[in-house]
Amino acid sequence: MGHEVRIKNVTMRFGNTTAVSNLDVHIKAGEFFSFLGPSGCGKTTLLKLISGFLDPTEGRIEINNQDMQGVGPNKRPTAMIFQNLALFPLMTVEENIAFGLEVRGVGKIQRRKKVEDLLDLVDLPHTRQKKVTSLSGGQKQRVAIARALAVEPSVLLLDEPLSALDLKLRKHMRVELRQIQQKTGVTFIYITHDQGEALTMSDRVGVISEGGRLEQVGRPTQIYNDPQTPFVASFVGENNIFQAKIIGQRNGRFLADTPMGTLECVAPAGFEPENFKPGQAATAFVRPETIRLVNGSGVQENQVECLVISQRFEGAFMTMELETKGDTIIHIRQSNNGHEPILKPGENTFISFGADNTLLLATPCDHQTKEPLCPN
Amino acid sequence: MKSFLDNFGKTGSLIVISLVGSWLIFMVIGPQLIALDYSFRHLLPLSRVGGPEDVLTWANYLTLLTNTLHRLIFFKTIWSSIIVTLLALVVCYPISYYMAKIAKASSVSLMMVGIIIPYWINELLRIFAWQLILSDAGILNQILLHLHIIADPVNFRAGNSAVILGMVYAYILFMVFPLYNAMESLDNNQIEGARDLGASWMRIHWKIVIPHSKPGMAVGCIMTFMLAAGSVAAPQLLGSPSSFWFTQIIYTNYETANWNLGTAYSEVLALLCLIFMFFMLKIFKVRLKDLLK
Repeated sequence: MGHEVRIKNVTMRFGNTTAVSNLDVHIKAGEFFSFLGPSGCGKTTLLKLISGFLDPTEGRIEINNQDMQGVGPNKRPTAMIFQNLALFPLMTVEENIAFGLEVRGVGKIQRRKKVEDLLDLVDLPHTRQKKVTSLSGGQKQRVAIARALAVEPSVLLLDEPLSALDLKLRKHMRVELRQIQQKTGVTFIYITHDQGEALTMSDRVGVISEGGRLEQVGRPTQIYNDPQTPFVASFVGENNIFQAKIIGQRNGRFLADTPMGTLECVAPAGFEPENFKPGQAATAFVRPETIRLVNGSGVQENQVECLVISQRFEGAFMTMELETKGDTIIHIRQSNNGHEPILKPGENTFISFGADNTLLLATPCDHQTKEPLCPN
Repeated sequence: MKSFLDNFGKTGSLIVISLVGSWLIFMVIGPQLIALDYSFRHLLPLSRVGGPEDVLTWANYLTLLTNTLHRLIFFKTIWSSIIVTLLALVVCYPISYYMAKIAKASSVSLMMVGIIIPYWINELLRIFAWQLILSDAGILNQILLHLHIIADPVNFRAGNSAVILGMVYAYILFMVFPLYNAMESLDNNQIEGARDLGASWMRIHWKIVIPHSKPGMAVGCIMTFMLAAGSVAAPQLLGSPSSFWFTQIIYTNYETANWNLGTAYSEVLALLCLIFMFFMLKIFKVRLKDLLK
């Protein structure tokens, strides 16, 4: 069964660069937890800290309430699946899977039994004698999972193991990884830059930004629907981002001035009231799929007149690029209802988005440091 | 072949091929055949060469079997060369591993230079340096005397040890490079993966690093053995009467104008090295093809 992992105020520095900064999170026993962040944000460092290949500069890591400081990777109850899998190419599938068992002095007959059980678990029968080099990408993936599970770890660490597979196989393996995790009850800590992976598989997700800062921890729906920081709002899913200035409050909602007029917005749960005083700069976020096309009659929340610039058909949905009177570009996404689109580029239309879907975050858009967050 | 023609043109190709071809024929194959011919003939005064007594014979080769001293020295040379090879492997394995997997890039190049620089000097001089260190009035004896560890100078050059020491030193490069090359291509994640699965350092080396470096080990062992078995300078300069090397017998035979016996023994030595090479390939389960990588 899985153990809980407590990462307590962990900081990791290499010379002058900080790879992980004051990261604090409690991963529950038997949980599928993903760390999601862009490449080079310190995710792999974090995994190496948990597995014991590195010791933190500050803070500590506890697994099953035991301090892991100074405990080597071969003594920790963790097993790691490497990004490139790191299977032993000179060994057969069986020798690979049995490697950790042999180390632990498990007898030959039990090893054979365990290998066969694991090959059943990862759905890879009759490959025991094969050389790992003769397997396909997906099969290697399964061998790597079996090899890591063979040592009965209470925590399994996965470093973007699906990144080498093609999209279809990757989607299939997501489902399977999740099933294996539920069958074994092992705590999975999964590292990825692919939000699709993080959101579909995980019980909870921790979003990490540059320099190994933990931005938000929550269930996938919370991360997507209620981002707490501008980084999460812009990194997870797509968002329309507007510079905003708070001008007041009405019916528990905030009113903010944006380049396309005054919008009604909501603040995130647990916001600090002193950051939402009138006159303060902020940023507003609207998801493309929450924006509706309307005919302009009647009174709608956050209604804006725009010009259609371009449309892109993507099968299940249609992406449209619109421009407001204030020269702001807005992307909207409409699900495909089976009809040809009515609007053509160059035509005018109205859009509306509910105040509940217009998130106001107190952090102002800073062109110096948060360039990607800023509307152009 | 087509790209060769494209690169050099017709005239160029002809020149390159004829140059390489004549080098092979006149410098390599021709002399070898002449030597082979010598080895199958009796030593005769010049006046009787080509006469009725000048017939093909195994006599020179049979001398190695009948002459007890030569036979003993032959086997001793094999045995000592194997020891040199094993010692070089033991010394170079950790050096290569350190350079390939542990050291930072900057210190690797520094170590590399440190290993290569001695090879700017001729082998003869390098071995001569060891003579200065190991001789009765040499540096080592001076230091030990000065520190009162010994009362009288020690004859370090008695027996085989000085020769073996000198050779291990002289051929380190030929072991380090193939090993380093092989180890460097090992994915670090393999080592970390094995460690993560609970393996001790011993097991990681035994199961992961050594199997991966086998081709490098085979190349290193073959080169070191061939160089050791064929070395003249080290036994000549560092040796004692009891460390006589097979090459010294060959050398003496050439010197005393018995080229027939000399060439026969040379052929035996060449054959020995060839056999050793295939033996190594067998031991390390490496194919000839893999060596060329």
